[in-house]
Amino acid sequence: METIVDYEKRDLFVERVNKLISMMQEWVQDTGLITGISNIEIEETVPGKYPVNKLEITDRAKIISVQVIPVGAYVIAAEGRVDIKGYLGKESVVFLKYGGPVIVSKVNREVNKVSSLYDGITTEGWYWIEDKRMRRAYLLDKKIFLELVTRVSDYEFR
Amino acid sequence: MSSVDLLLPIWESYRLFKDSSVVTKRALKREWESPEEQKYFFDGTEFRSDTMSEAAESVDRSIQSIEDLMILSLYATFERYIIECLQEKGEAIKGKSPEWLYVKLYLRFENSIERGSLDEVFSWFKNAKVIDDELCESLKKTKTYRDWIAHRNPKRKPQEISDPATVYTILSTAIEKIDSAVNIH
Repeated sequence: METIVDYEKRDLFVERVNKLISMMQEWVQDTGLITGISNIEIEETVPGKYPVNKLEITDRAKIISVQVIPVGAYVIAAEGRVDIKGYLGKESVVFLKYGGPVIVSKVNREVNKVSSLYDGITTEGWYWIEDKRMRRAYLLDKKIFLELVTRVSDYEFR
Repeated sequence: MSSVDLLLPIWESYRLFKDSSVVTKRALKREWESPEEQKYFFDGTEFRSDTMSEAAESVDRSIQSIEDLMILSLYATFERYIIECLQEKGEAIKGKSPEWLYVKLYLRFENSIERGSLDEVFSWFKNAKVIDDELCESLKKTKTYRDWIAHRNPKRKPQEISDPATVYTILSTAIEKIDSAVNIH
């Protein structure tokens, strides 16, 4: 019997990655860094192999090289993950739905408390989970993205 | 000490390792004033006689291995917490009469908790509304992922992947919920 695979999650992830890459390109536009998009193949258990875009950020002298690499749509407690890798290490951003993963506490079958697994999920989008305090998630914006680029590459934006 | 603190030493050691790998990579990339200075810095370490890129690659490989070990260690600590928590609750039957029967019953209970499936225990907590469906599902997926790291059985390749930060968040949240639910006085 042929197995029916739901490709919706995969397609949504690819679409979200493309939007994220466009945003990142805009964010570095006035920094003097250069961006380039190439294609890679991801292999996941459920949808199998599929192509997706990745982003490379370099400076003109090619001293820094930061890769934005999609990891997959099927990650635990999120709707997809992208790694930002430089020579110093990597930082991950995950796609979270509004409210993020939720913990519901009930007393006598009545909802007593609804709390997010992470704090700070105000809207659906790409979040950086700050790993020191763990529960705090930051919506990825230009400021945080440039900070992550610095973290993984030591590149200083002036 | 709160039960959530059980995971902290593992988590903090991992953070320190990650920070140390950043310092190492900075040292590898640094332009040294003299070869003697560089020699002094890397003398007596595994990096000696490596090229800079070989050294950086070996740091990356270590990070990957440590991340896997970190997940195994976090999960093992969590598993021990659950087992000890349930066994402690089960001790209530120990003092009952007839003693010969309840002692045997307790031994059977203790053995079954030690060897039983945690998936079943997660479902108990879910049915008792201690944890919600999503956290229960995340715990089961984390266990599957942990099993994959430990055994690499290609027939049991997990559908979803994870990382130490996510595993730490899920397990510490679960401990908080379980602790406040089972330690009612």
